[in-house]
Amino acid sequence: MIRMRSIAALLASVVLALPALAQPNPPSTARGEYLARAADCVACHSVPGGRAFAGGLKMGTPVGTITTTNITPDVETGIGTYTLKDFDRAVRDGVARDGHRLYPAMPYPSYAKLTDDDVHALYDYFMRAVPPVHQANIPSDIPVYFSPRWPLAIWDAFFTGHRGFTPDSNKDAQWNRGAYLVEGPGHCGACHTPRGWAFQEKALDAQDPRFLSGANLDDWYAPSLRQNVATGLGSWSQSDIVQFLKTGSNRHGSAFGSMRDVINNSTPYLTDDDVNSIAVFLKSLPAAANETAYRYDGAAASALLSGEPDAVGAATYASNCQSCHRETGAAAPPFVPPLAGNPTVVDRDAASLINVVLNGSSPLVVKGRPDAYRMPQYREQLNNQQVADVVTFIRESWGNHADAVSAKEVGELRKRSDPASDRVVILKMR
Amino acid sequence: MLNRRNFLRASLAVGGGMLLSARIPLGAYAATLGKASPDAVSLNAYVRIAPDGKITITAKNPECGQGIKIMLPMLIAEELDVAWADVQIEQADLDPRYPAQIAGGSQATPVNWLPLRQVGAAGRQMLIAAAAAEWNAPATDCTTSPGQVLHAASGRSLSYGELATKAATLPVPNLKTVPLKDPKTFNIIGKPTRNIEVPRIVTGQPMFGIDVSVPGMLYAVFQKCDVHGGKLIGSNVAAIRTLPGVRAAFEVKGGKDLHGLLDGVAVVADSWWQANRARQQLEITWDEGDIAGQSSSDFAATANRMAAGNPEIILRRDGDVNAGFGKATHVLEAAYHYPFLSHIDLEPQNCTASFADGKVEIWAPTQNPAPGSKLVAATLGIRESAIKVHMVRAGGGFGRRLSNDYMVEAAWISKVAGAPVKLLWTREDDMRHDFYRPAGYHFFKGGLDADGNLVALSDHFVTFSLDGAVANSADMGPAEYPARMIENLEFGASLIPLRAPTGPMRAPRSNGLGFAFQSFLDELAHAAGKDPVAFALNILGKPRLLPDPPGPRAGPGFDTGRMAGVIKLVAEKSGWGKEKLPSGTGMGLAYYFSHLGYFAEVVKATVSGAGAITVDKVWVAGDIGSQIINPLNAENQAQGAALDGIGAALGQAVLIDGGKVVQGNFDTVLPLRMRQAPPVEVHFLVTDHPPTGLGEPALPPALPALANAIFAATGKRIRSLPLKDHDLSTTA
Amino acid sequence: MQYTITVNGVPHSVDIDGETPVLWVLRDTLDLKGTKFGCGAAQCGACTVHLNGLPIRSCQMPIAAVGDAAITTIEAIGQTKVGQHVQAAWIDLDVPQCGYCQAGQIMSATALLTRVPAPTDHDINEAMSGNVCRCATYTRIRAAIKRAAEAGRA
Ligand code: FES
Ligand code: FES
Repeated sequence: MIRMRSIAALLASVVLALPALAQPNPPSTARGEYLARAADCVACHSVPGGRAFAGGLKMGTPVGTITTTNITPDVETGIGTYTLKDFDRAVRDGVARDGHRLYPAMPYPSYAKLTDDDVHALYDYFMRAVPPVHQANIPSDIPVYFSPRWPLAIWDAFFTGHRGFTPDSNKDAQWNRGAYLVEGPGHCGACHTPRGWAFQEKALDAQDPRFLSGANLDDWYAPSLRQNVATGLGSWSQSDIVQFLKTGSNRHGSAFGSMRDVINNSTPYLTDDDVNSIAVFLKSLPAAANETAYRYDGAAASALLSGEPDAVGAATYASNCQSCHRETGAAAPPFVPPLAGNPTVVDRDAASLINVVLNGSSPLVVKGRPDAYRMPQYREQLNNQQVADVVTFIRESWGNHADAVSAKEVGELRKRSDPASDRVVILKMR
Repeated sequence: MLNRRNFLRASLAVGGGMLLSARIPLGAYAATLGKASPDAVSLNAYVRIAPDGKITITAKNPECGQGIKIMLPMLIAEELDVAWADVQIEQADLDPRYPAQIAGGSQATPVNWLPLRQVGAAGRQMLIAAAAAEWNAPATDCTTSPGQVLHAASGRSLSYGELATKAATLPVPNLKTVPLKDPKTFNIIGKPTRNIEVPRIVTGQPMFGIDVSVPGMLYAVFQKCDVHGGKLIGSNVAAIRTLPGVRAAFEVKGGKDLHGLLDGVAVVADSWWQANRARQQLEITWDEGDIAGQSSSDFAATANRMAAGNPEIILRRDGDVNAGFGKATHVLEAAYHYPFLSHIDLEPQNCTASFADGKVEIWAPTQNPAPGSKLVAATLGIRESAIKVHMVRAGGGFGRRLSNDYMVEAAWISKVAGAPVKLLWTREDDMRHDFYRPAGYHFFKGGLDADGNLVALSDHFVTFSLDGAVANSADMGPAEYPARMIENLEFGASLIPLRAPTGPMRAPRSNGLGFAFQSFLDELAHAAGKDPVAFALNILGKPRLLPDPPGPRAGPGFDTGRMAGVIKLVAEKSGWGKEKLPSGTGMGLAYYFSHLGYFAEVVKATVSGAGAITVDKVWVAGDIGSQIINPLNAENQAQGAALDGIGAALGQAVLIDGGKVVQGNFDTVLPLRMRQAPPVEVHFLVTDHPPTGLGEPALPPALPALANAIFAATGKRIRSLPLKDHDLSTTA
Repeated sequence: MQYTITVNGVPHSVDIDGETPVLWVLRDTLDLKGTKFGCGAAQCGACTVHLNGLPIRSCQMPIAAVGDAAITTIEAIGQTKVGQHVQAAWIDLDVPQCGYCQAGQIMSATALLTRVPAPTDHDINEAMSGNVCRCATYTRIRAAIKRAAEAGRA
């Protein structure tokens, strides 16, 4: 048996290149491709090393595992026979052509905001520019009592916003474009907005203060994108946000965890105008918490320099972290992210910090070029107590003020995120 | 002048003085190994004595940290009777006049011990003869003290420098009969002798392969298929050529030999960083071939399945093992496993090559340059005489650099790029394209009689094959301990086909077999209710030499007395059984004979309630013959070997998934670190046997001694490595 | 981009991509080959140099982030008293085997002894555990650090 397989050398990620277009396509496929980028369809509808949009990615949900579907125009296994109407129902209403309702892992509550023209452009792109891949879908293993998907109709009735995006006439065109991209195709809320009892995003637009206020999904904490001065984007300028979306890092931090896929496949491909619009919109979201702004405090650095720091965890920091993140926690941004004042570090939820210490960061690839510096994993080198101590030290040093982390928390996250475990993380919103 | 019998030649050196060159049949080596004299194998030595009295000795073997570069010259300098401070050492290039330029197998000591001393002694005799002629005195009245010839009667003396030019014209003595010093009078051999390279090492002088620089040199990286031997179908190499600093990027079509040039894409740039950054943007389509079953989890399942059946090959059968089990009062069965390992030399593989006008000059940190030169010749289609290989100090070897894949890659890339290149692998390249220490599965059964004697033992060894033959270093011999000492014994083997290449790693075979056998023997000792030391001595029985079964690796046999000697020594030094250890702390014993060295080791280890292992101390006792040539280096090597075993046991495994090696760097394959490194106490038992090497034999007992210590500490039997994969916690 | 960095007291101007690690600037641009490459991932310490006297892994330090901080490498560590003691102890106790890790070991040991003139075993473990010695010369490294510490007190 000969297996042929395309890999991007050194990238364990999906095949990133979108299909090269054999012949010039009419403008709407180009626009559709752009929207597919903005919506990051490839991240979920592909597997690492697999063909783009052929599906196959396993996603855990509270009730079982589903596998993303083939959305290439293959007639038998993909969406080759979909009409525009079928396509539209799937994207904006979450109803497949055979009438079954899609699980809300597909962010159709967000996509519902897409304009008719954009849905059409996406349709043109998928039907005419994406090469068909013959790859059968894998049925979900959702237990049978959950399986009839009719309850999802009720779910929809409760939790889905109104179809379509209504511009805010009090805001300018740039703000409205940003709101559209964030709430609609970008589906930022899928990760950054907290979810409720039925796994629904608690808010779907800027009106609601819970919108983009930070959430934990598959053991990564997606931080608040509101103007919270310590745990949100309050200290980020518009150009900081733009730089982050374009390159994956800036003077405040670097993308990791689930955000990696957004950088690898989506936002760096957006136009400067669109990225600026997103930044303008995010800068307009009021803080959801009253926080004191970050102020650097030199005590931890002096203690580390003296060689006799009191804090447990300082020794682990000194021998494992300090040579890159430095005694000041200031590191070398944008190449190596700072720990001092980094919103992800000081958030109440330490999941991302624990996770990145245990498992390292996977490659951040900006337009085909992987990052030069990357966090190694410490899962094998540090035990739960050491990770808890060092994370606590980081959360309490240099002016950071966040709660301690326990070895138990680390142990649980270690088990859940063990690459050897076959447990699929909850709703991996890649 | 040439003496036909021993090929010693003396000639005038350029610039005055004497040049001694010797070509000596290796009869002595053969005798050490217990083999018939292979007269075709011979060894050369070069010694230059300059008029200013400086002695230059050529070091012919590659240096990778084993200390050979000074050890061999010490032998010559001792018998020549010169002050060590006056000795300079020059690294030889690869030269067909030296037939055994290899660092491997701990062979340098047994091979060179007698012949090199004879060379030195002959030189000394000639210098004495020259002085005697000068003084008109009988040579028997002359003696030497370091660097000079003395005539006690007249109180006259002449320095070697003054005598050398004359000595060069005198007849050479017969090497075989030249008198050697009484070891009691040694001034250099047996004295702690510092490595003359250390001052350069501690000041950061360029001396390693990676430091080589030649005019006009460019930097290269080479991306191969991570599934070993995968074929290149296509790539975006054209796009790579446009990236910053890139001078050349091209596809390479290689062959099938995993030790040779393989398919890949080379990127050559102005700096290594630029080359490697460009390479990270490569997109390559590979034909990976058949990878079905090529995963560590598949191997484990296959091994278990094979173990349920009969072995494919019978390696040894003594008595009737089934009858033995039938008679036994206690039968124990256990399955042991050790993983694939990567050598992880700290200096990643690299090579500098300059191809021009049909000739290639190579600077390679290699343990084994001669096959490399042949490989380059065959691959590039040039004659070996057009190849010059310089041996450069290697940042670690451990067996990895016995293969020369990086050498042929550098030569090829230089040829295509049309410039001298330094090829440097990343750590990930190094870990994913190694010749791995093969994993192994042992399915043991042992039978004890009512008195706790081991009366029957069987091992079904499930190991690996490559292209139909047993994979390199994945075999087991019929003399594996305790064969020859157990009445009813059967060793069998079955083979799992493997695609990844394997190869020798420090103490090849022994490093895995030692863990499995010595752990199971410890298990049997406990089952027999015996102290492991007593159990071992009981198996060994009275001192005697057990001859090896005939075969390619037949050696001088196994001396049960020497083994018992080191076991007793290590027990004494470690205070075995003397001390009541606190709970959670235990001591483990293991012993192993390999590479002609007898070693027994005791490890003391503590396991905390949370399951953290502290290795408290290691005691090493070794019998490597009558003479420790350089005690300073011997201790360092023995400590290093024991700690190498400890490090591998604690944190190292290479897993294969879909034909590819999963691990890539030191965050997943854990090298031993300072905080884990215990003190290691080394003792040598001096016995009346020819001196042998110790780079390897001190390693194998360390792993099972640690595993056995953990059993003693916790009651948990470790049947697989590495230890990091075991949960040893007793508290939640 | 043009960067000026001070290495062993000498300013050097280099025209290079700002993401380039200091390691490769030292080795390939400035031809200071004493600093070694072992892992490229801050896991082995072979590339350890001092930045304003503190040990860093130069493989993880982009040149753009150096600014006007002073870099010291193995080639110049003997110009400090502590560095001299450390080098002498290393020679005296014949520490190295292959020697490849030793430049990094010496840089870490010197930084430790500068900060803590009489280190305990625990101090040595913490300060030196980022430096891998594949040949496992740890016993002697530990002894040499103590020897150098004594020399510093004398
Ligand atoms: S090369 Fe920098 S730490 Fe290994
Ligand atoms: S001496 Fe070889 S790696 Fe340290």
